[in-house]
Amino acid sequence: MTYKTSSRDVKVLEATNLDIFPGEFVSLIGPSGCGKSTLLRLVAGLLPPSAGQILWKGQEILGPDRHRCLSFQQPHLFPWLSVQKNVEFGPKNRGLSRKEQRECSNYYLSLVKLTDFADSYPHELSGGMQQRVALARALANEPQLLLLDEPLGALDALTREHMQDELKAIWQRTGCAIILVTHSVDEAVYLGTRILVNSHRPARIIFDHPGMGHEGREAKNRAEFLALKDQVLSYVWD
Amino acid sequence: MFLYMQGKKELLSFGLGSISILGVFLIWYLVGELEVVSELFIPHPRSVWRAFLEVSTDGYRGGTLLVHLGSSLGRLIGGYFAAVFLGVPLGLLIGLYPKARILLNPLFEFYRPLPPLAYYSLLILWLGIGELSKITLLFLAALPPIIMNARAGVENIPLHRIDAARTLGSRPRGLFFQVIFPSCLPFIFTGLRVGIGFAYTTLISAEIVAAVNGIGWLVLDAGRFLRTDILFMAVIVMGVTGMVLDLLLRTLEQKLIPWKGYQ
Repeated sequence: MTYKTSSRDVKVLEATNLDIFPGEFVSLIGPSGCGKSTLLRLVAGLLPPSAGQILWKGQEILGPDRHRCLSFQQPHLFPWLSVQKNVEFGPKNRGLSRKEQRECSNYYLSLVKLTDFADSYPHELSGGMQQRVALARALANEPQLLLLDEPLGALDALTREHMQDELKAIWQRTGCAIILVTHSVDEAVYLGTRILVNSHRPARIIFDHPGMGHEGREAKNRAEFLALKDQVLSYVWD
Repeated sequence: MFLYMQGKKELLSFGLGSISILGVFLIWYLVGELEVVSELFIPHPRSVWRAFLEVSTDGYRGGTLLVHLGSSLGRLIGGYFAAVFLGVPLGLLIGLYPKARILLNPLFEFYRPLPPLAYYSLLILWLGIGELSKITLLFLAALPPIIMNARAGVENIPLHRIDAARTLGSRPRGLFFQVIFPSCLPFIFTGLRVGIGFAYTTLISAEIVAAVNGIGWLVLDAGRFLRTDILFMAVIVMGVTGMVLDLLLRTLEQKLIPWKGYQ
């Protein structure tokens, strides 16, 4: 995969062979600029690959699809729509009836605990709340694969800890597969059922190991958690 | 709490703003009372008030104040609305399609910095001395800021917002009305406000030539006959009207896009 800039083509991703399975929670971690976001955009179908192919259930990915939803570090909500209407954006596009849209948005707003803010506008919410709306908006399309590009990166440390647990709970309830790009080793190990580490550009996957995604918060204090963190960190710094 | 603070802040700025207006008025009043300067140059506020009553009821050279103001605003609205209905779509088009930009930009860049008066004589030559040339002049004056801001609106849409919409199932055709147009609204409104300002300042130029009514004409004609009291009154009316027009647009803006300034 090469990425065109005005001055030169940057080779971003080296032959990456990767299979993602249903229900997996994959944490992807690696140095900045190593092409993690590019990988997500490719899988989302927002960017065509310059070489090779990406298959979704055996079919080549040709464009965006509601089953592969991408959410970003910044929530990028639609500021002219209320929280509820933001969440209904996807359901409306898939042609659900008004009643079904409302049921869908109510369900996912309750899942991210924002039922009371349905009629608020994005600019009236805190950063953490906005990110939860973005999550509900992505989930409302009931994707089979959720692509998260550092969704917790812009949050303060306390909110972030809390959101990690919410994310885990949501993943367990919905059963969708998740690819989470993160810069936090702690987050990668705690949330992922599988941890991938990318090398410097052109990126290759240099580490592929099961994570603690199925465990509860107490796992963070266990020796094996800390050992795994150290191991991941050694690969990231390599 | 926040709303309360904001209310207090607004009250404060309103109060401070009034002080400067009152101060100027007070100086003006004192100058009038003490007869420092001849009434010909600075009429007493009382004379200006009398002029206001006189022109409002008896009229000035064939029309009351309301008639003059009305015919000016009629021209303004005619030219302005034409500029809005052409300028917004054209600006969006230029923003969305690089080819349209390449095609239209040289023409636009040539016409944009021209002072409207420079081509007014030509407009009169082509369109006659009636209303059409005046309305066209105001239209051309309001057009550039409206086009430029609509275009800037498109160019300033956060790309990730488009990606977010696409990944949520927006089709290219729906994307325009669902995301692009609402995203441009804050910029479009800036263009609407600057545009009406440009048109309004051009109004007096439009009424210099071959007009027999209008608030701009009133200012010129009163000046010509040394009716400084009427001149003062008309300038004040023009100023207040301009403020009211901007206030209307600002109120509309706050109603339609309360999220302006937030991303």
